[in-house]
Amino acid sequence: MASSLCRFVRGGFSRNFSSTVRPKDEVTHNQLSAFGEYIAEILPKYVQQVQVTCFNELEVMIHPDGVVPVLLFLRDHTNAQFKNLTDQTAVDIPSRQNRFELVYNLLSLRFNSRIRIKTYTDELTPVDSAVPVHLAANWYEREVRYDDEVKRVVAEPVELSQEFRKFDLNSPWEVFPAHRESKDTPKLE
Amino acid sequence: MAGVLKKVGVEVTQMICININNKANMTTGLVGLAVSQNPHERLRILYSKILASLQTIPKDAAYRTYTEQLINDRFDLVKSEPDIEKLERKINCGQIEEVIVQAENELSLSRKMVEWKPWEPLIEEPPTNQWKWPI
Repeated sequence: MASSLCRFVRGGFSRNFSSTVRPKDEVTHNQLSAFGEYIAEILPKYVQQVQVTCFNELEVMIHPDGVVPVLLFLRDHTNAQFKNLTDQTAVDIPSRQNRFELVYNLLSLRFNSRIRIKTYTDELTPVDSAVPVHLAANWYEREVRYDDEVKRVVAEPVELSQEFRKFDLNSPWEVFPAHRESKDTPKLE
Repeated sequence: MAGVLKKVGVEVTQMICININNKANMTTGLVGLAVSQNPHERLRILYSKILASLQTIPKDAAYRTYTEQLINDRFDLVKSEPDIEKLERKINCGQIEEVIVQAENELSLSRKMVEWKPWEPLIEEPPTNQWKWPI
């Protein structure tokens, strides 16, 4: 970042300073927007908006109920084999009513293209987990989970709830995995 | 394999060659994907099952029209082309075993689409300024 701020002029001032902006690729842009329209036509129940950014990235905005159907469609349909979930994140925009914007980045190896699925939710509504569709979402959903134990953003897979078992170091016996300790057990200092 | 072929007459070996996969029972090159013995038959079954499950979707649904078009094109190619390598090249979607996997996925997807009915109009409009960027 800092290196991009100071530009070193190497080779003297005779260099051509035309802008280094990426040239606009109309063909890819049109192909992506056609594919976006295709998706919007097939899934009008969930798709709210489709856009192609200036960097030729296709983004599909969906209703939060449609996370699993849309991801499954994109994974299984022959024209859209997006079998890789490359990324799953959330964006927090506090001024919005639905504060969190969930983002799923998918990659299709067959057609060499990427797509982004965006949904929204607020602090209190859980969203369906993407794990039944893409196993990779397991790890990402642990990170997206809201910290406070009471408020949850993303529904967590059943396996997660057993990860945080506490070991009773006073005795050599291990507690059962699903055992939750009551609050008044003595803590080991 | 070669020893067996020597004993059999020429016409019979030619007959056998049509049924044996061109890969001669070697690998597809992909981990976990075995060479299929009867790809045409398998594809025929899968495509007819997909078309049958698409019949239950209303006719004006975009999913039905597009998928029927796609499946019918592939089905015609499978019916017309007996040679496996040429079929792979015509379909142009990877090896024939991968095409079989795609058809299986499409079949499970079509069954779930019947359940979810995604051709209905939008469930709920987003709240105003939900997708506005920059804020």
